[in-house]
Amino acid sequence: MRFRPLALFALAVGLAVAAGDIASIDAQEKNNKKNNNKKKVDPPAPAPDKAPPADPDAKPAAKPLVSTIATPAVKDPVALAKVIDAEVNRKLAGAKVPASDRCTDEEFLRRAYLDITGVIPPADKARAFLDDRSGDKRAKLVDELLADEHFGRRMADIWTAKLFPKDSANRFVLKEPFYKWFEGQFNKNPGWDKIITSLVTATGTVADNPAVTYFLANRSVDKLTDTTAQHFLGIQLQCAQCHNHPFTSWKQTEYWGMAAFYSKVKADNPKNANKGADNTQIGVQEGRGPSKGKDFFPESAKTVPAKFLGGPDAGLDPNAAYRPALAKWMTGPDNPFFARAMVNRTWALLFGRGFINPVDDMLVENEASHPELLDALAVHVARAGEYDLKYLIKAICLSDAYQRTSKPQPANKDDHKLFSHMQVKVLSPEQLFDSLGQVTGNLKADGKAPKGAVGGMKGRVGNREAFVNFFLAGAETANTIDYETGIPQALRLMNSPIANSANSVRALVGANSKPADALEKIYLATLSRRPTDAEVKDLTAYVDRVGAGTAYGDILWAVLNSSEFTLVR
Amino acid sequence: MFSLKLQEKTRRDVLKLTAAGVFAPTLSGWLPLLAKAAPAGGSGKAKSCILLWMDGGPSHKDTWDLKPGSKGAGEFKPIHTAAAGVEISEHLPNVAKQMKHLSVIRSLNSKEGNHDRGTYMMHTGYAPNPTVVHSSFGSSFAYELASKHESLALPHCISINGPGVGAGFLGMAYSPFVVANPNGKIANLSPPAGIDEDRMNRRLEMLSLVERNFMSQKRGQGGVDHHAVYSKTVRMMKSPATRASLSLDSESAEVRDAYGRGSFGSGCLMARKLVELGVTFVEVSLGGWDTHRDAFDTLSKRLLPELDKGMAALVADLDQRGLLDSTVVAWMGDFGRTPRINQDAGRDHWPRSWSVVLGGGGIRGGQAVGDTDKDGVDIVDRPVGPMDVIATMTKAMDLDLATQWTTPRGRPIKLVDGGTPLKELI
Repeated sequence: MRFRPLALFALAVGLAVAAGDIASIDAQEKNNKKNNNKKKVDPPAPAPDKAPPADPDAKPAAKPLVSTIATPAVKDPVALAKVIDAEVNRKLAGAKVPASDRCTDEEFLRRAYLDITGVIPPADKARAFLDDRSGDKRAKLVDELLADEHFGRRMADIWTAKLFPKDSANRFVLKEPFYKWFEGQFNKNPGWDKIITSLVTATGTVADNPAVTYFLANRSVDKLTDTTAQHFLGIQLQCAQCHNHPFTSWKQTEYWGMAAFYSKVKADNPKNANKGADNTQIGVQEGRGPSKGKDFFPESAKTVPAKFLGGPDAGLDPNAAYRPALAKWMTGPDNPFFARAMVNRTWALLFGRGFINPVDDMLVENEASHPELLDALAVHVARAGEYDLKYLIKAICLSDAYQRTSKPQPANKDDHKLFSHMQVKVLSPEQLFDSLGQVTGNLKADGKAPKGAVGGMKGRVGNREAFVNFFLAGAETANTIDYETGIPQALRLMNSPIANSANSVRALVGANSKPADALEKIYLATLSRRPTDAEVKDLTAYVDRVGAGTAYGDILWAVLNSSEFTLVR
Repeated sequence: MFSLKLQEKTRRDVLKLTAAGVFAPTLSGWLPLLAKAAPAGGSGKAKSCILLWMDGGPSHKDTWDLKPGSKGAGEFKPIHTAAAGVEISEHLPNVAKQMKHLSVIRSLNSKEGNHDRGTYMMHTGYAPNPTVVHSSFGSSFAYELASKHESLALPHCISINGPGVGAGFLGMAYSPFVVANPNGKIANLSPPAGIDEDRMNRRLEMLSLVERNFMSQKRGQGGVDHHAVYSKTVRMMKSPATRASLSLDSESAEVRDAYGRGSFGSGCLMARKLVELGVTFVEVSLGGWDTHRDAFDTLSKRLLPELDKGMAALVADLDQRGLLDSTVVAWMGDFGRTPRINQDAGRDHWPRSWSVVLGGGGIRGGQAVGDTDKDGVDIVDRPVGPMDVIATMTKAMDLDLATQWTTPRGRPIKLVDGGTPLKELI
């Protein structure tokens, strides 16, 4: 109960914000970390006490999955994109906020590449797309990118970071097989329901079934319960581990009711790889009774029957495996959380923010910006849509909402939640590494990390992971909206060999290129656009002034260090 | 209902303030900057903090709380210090001479006996928690005081010989800038070979030119923040004073010898130079304290002599330069070590009753606060928690003990949560 007074204060802040205007909400949500002027503030109105469950006014903890909007009866990305636009436009009209223009091909190209495959387009692809005159080239590009194996890598980056905590207890747990498993699953795209079912019901050894790594990297019932709720259901449940949740009706019994599904997990402890142990042979089994693993149950653990979150007791047969029942409930067509969490996350992946933010805190009390659309997409994806992630991404990418420019208009520049214009995003460390590597050809993902380059985690990691850790600087995940890079990272981008290789310049520009051609190659390879006339004029003047021998290196250096390179327009 | 106006000073505002002077979203922003490298010094009024971090967990019974004749007393004898009644290890003779400036807290219970968790606890005052990543006190101090050092051409939070602990939800701009080796060159502080100053200036000119098109479209804050970070970084690269502070080349042999030329002594010297310029927080790490075996050789031959020289020279030097009153000096590690000696002639992890040292910044020196029993096992007087230590430092830094932030998830987090400054010390 230690957090109770703080939580009530936060709730009052939340109420105050809900009544504020759009700009303030966003400023509050995104930027407000400074709060020590509190004493100058009027005391918040006392928040009403948390309603007991019997209170008729109490909101149910789980909203049933129903849609008030008709959605296509079968998978139809074009029709689904129209549903999206009708709703987004209706909200914009209601708020009298104009929409920005459709983005240029250049903007779309780089955005779609980065959002879907996590890397900028190579120069030849950029040129071909920009010169393509066909009317359906954007849809074709989306199909091509979703079929590209880099899609799996992009998604594996995101999900491995969430489900494999950086923790010294995991130093001997093998990450690579898990990553590869995710990569393969996302590329095969069997359906998000199937992927998660494979994950939460996994048994066997790492060698046979790398999905078991989820349990090896989270070797306690509370970590499993927390990550399941947070990442698959979009619910922050962990506070209820120790006390009834101050914001909602989550009770400790709800927490331990969910945890009970994992109570029979027997996860092997990793062995000391420094002594030659083979950690591909450890694994996970579903035991017959409560797990006896060391520290598998925290001191705060309560023994309650397995119960679906916000739903009934599971009524499990104690002799049967528990986890399949959890997976079946989560991925069922009526689950109140699972599809909404998937839709909200996918939307945030593409727009920089979800309908509900933070994306993994989808409380009933946390109002969605577009509740009807969120529900419609969730209902559709859970039923007709077969939890097909690539299909959902495709439909969103075909919408006008996704294809808007990020250039705001005077009348919509303060809107950050109605999707009147695209949010500029920041390249994740992985996107930055892969994009820099593609341009310069001098970054090897699996090469040995340079000594002392590892930020935060000790141990032997590959070049790419070391780069990512250095750019995360101790944070768990990168901020996709705010540019938070610090001085050490800027120094590395400016002065390390990455952006200073004469070979990169030669490979990119070629020998004896005319300035206009050379500049076009540099710009297409990095910014996915041709330089403007003014840029050609100014940069050509520079080439003439200092000579091609150094000018192109300087220009490539400048482009790689520019904000336009490090941001997704 | 209260006004949202008061909430508007944000991380980003602080960042902007930090870059003030060069921050002007004009498109020729780089050139005035190049023409006139700003002085590196800060205002000099705000306080600084130097943390001497004993990585691995230092033993209290071999350093600050000797128990001659007790079970597991160890091999070292206590000696008198400049502070009447305060005795410390015979292997810290130079520190002993500075003890009028330093006070030992002999009754800390930090609860966490695992390296990761102990490091987190001692740096943040909080136990690790899956719902939020807390800021280290050093990053918190830097975050709070950055605006008082607008013209500083250095990061506000620097960690020497180790990664330190980051700024958590306060954002990576306040995570430590890492100096991996104070005796070496700072990685990437200079352009690579072949890029002389003229050419670097031309490159920055090109960067302005390349940025012009995108920045003119005003697509939000990202480009503006990028410009602020690059401006500050370039200023750091170009400032002669900054560069000098990150190198020990110009220090006399006498000074180098006084501090010791190992990475710790050199780190202490660099820390002094950095706080002199106005850096808010510097951590200097000395590794190797995880002495599960053959502890006494390691301690007497390597760790304690290196610590003794560096720490004593630092305190004396700060004092001589008039900086000690504005610089909090703290000594701590992951946790203490067992009062008993194990079969390998070492000591194991022990967070239950151990010692930390504080001084400077107005903290009263010359005292021993709290006590353990005759074997150094149980606290018998004045139990102290990590938050009390952070509260004491926060007060010494002239920061508001009620300082509180809101995480991106909307949860309020306090700099000092449930800790009280030690009245004996401040």
